[in-house]
Amino acid sequence: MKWRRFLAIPLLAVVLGLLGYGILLPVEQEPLWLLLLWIGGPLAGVVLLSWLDTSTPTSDLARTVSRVGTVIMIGFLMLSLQLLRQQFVQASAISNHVVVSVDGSTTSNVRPVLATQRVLRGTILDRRGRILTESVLINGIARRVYPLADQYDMTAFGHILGFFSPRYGQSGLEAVYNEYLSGERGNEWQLLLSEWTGETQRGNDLTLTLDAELQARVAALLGDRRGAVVVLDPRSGAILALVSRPGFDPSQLVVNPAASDLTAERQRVSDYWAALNRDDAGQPLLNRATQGRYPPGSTFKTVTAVAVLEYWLQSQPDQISCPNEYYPQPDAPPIVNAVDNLGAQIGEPATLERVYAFSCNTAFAQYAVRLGADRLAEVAQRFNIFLPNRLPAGFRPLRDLPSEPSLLSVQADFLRQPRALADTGYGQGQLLVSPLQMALVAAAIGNDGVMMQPYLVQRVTRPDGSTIWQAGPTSIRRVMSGQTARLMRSYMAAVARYGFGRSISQFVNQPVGGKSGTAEHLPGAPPHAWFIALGPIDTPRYAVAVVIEQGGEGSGVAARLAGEVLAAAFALEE
Amino acid sequence: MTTLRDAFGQLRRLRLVELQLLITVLLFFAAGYLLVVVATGQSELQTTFQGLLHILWPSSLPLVLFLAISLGLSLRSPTADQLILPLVALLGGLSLMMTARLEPGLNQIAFCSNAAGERFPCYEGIATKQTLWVTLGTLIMAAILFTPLDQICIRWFRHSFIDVLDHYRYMWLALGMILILATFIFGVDPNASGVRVWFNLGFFYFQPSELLKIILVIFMASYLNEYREAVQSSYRLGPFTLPPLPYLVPLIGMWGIAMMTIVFQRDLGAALLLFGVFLIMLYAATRRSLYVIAGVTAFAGGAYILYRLLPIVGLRVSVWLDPWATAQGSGYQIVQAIYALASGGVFGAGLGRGVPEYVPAVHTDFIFVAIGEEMGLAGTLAVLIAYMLLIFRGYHLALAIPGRFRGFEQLLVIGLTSIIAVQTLIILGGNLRLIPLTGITLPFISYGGSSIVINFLIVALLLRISVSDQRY
Repeated sequence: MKWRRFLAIPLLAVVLGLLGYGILLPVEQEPLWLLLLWIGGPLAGVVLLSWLDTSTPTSDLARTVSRVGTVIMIGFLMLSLQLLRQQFVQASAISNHVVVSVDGSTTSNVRPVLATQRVLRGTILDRRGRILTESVLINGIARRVYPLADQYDMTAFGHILGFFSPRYGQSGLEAVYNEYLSGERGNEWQLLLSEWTGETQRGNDLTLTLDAELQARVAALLGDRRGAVVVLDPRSGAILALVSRPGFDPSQLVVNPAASDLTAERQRVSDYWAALNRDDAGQPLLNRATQGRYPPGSTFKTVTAVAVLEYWLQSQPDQISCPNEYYPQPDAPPIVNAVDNLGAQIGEPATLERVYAFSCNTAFAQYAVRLGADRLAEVAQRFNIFLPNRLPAGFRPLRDLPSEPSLLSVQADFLRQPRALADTGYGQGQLLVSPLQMALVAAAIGNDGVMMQPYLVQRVTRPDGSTIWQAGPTSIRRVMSGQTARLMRSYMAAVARYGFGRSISQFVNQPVGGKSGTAEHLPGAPPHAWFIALGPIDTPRYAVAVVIEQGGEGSGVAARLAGEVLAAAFALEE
Repeated sequence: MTTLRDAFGQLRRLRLVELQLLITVLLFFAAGYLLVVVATGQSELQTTFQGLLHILWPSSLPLVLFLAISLGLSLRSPTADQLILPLVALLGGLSLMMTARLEPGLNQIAFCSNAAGERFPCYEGIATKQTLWVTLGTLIMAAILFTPLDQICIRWFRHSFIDVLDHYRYMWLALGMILILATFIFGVDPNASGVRVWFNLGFFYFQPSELLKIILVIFMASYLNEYREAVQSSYRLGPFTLPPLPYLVPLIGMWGIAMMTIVFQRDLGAALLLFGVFLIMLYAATRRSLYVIAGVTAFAGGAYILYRLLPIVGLRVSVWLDPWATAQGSGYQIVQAIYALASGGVFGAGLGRGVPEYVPAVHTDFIFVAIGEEMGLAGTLAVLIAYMLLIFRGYHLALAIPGRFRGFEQLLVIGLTSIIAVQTLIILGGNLRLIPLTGITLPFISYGGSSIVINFLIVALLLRISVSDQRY
């Protein structure tokens, strides 16, 4: 009998070890936990039974019944341990567990979704207080509504607002500001109160820098063409319009619980979702303005020109020519201009202003080679256009929306080749730049050389109107000297006055400036048309970047669109 | 003076422990029920006495009846066990509370359509019906406790009530078998569960396998008691020492036939329950762990054969091992149950604040999960403790009976208590994924007429036997 008692202690330690290890196992290893529980439980039973046997029972029946009782107690103990795991130790991991089965169907806990439907999410307003989206309660279920839908085409607002769907998740501001909109953050006290009183939980409101009217007009100007337009205030970084096409209508992804035929209503929503995700739909869920990255074409000559002015001695800005062909590397094909005999148009002597105004590739290729890879990369990095190995981890150009950083090259050592460096100098090579970043390049020039942090959300307020936080103009850094910025503005004005962008001046009645770009991306395919612009050019209030995918000549369609956008912005000031 | 002394004498006999516990349970029920009704929006809370009474009536009727039974026991048989009744009242009250909470939730998402194509909520009125069942169960319990059954039985059968149960065991067994066999002919399947094990009695569906478990326990207790010495001894055949086969074989045979019929009906939960109770009683009577080992081995073999033969068993096992793989199909129920339990956390979502109705069969087989979601780990552990106390009280009762003279009652109490114990372990083990799920009710809490009535019958028998116990 004695050996049993000595054995019991280590056995018990083993049991506790097994169960303690098992109860902490992640959800995916549930079968192993069950196995450990089934080993540990009966072993614990053996220990208990051996202890019972040492006490003297009053009768034979008492012994058998106490053994039966022990077995049943072990059963209850195992149930309790399983409950301890499922309801305490791994409770949050299990309730958030998502499983994708072989057939692709997803299973997740329905409760967080239902909880979101009981929350009156915050309202999103534009800079003039117009309600872009708000939540209303229908039959106790909160639902997103879009009051401007009868006034504007809501596809213009899809990328900014994002969709909010129990089924498909969230995007845009609905995703990035989910914690504020649902009230989980910034309003904790009210959340606790509504939790206890059972009142409907209310979220916080967002006020944007966006101008809904301008946004709608810009989207209409871009029309059915694929591309993006960014309008921002260079003095503050406030985003006034941010359009990406094709767009999507977030109101189409909301099921109306008051619909007479709920099955048909759900079908409508899932059909719309399927249409958005079709291969030929052109990725309408992608925000091209912040996530789209394109070769910038000649608009990048603006960055090169800034580098030339900042490194005046090394690059000799006004000792330049515009030959028809330029060989930066003897074993590579020459760089040519888009227009034959461009030198004649520029005239003699060529200056930085004239080669910039007429967008001479060979001239900017020479500048890039004179500057060298390091100086060009250094100036580009001031504009947050990074070499891949210099990209800060987790860098996001715009914090309010999903956005992608812009790259000077894809390969870190690409610029070591003279030909590659020369290509990059006039905006080809491996450059990948987002429309937002090009707008910021223009904005930095417009703001006397200081690049401002772009922002879309200017204020988060509680339901009672008090402010949680407010965003104001913050500068990223001084990108260039004030002198350089002034010169750059005069060059951009020259583009609009007599250069390859003069068509922009037909649409605006104030002096503006800009730079066109025609970006080759696939051999044989029509190029992407770019234009960046500042208006009015002497004291800019608007910085604009326009890209039209496969739109053709930047100095044509893109300049025209930029002009129309600026005209719309000026018109809305009155 | 003498009348006053008599009155004091009566007062001293008052079962105060039971009464206090019952009043606590009644208050717990009243608070919980009010919360449920208000939280699910079935009624506005009115803080006047009439307003509260209006909400609580008639759902609190069974609990008031419990109080009456307690007072009645004080008068008639003050020595009866004082803990069983409050524990049953607690579990029964929890049942009323949870069905009242689940009905509005189920009515929102579960719709059936009749032959005319009209849509209507499938579970309309389950709370009222459950109140009816619990009341009926309580009344049956009162009837067994307070009718002079012994006198009636002596007049008709020349035996006391317990002796009638003891002596007519083959009659009881025959009755049980007839009932089970009758389900093959008259059985219906009212809620499309795939097994036809109910009788349509017009006003409610009765599941005879529920009654069979009591009958088999009576039969077994009687048989084992009569041949107690024989089954405890060994049987010599030449040089081998064998178990007393002549006595065991008929027992195993009869029990086997009963189980086979149930297995044939795919009522695996009931079969597992009967097998477990059989092993416990055999062990209690013979004190031979060899039989348990043999039984478990035989069970493992039988389970493997069933696993290969019956596709439903294979399905249940694969769902048990990995419910996530078929989360949209056969594993749906258990996955939803896991989510519900995990969402409850330690203190639960609060009564009426969770969504347990997404778990299929949440008001019957999975009602424990609803408790887990809304009352959390605190609630589930409390329920487990209540069951443990009830079960141990039952076993305690058996040990208090002098076995030399009342061996039948002793084995009967062990068997009846084991029914509650094993049934609770099987369904909770299935709910919590300790074992493959088999459809069976949670005693006293699950919705369902047969289950409630039979469980109250078990408690009535336990109490009645404890009444005749003269405390050593």
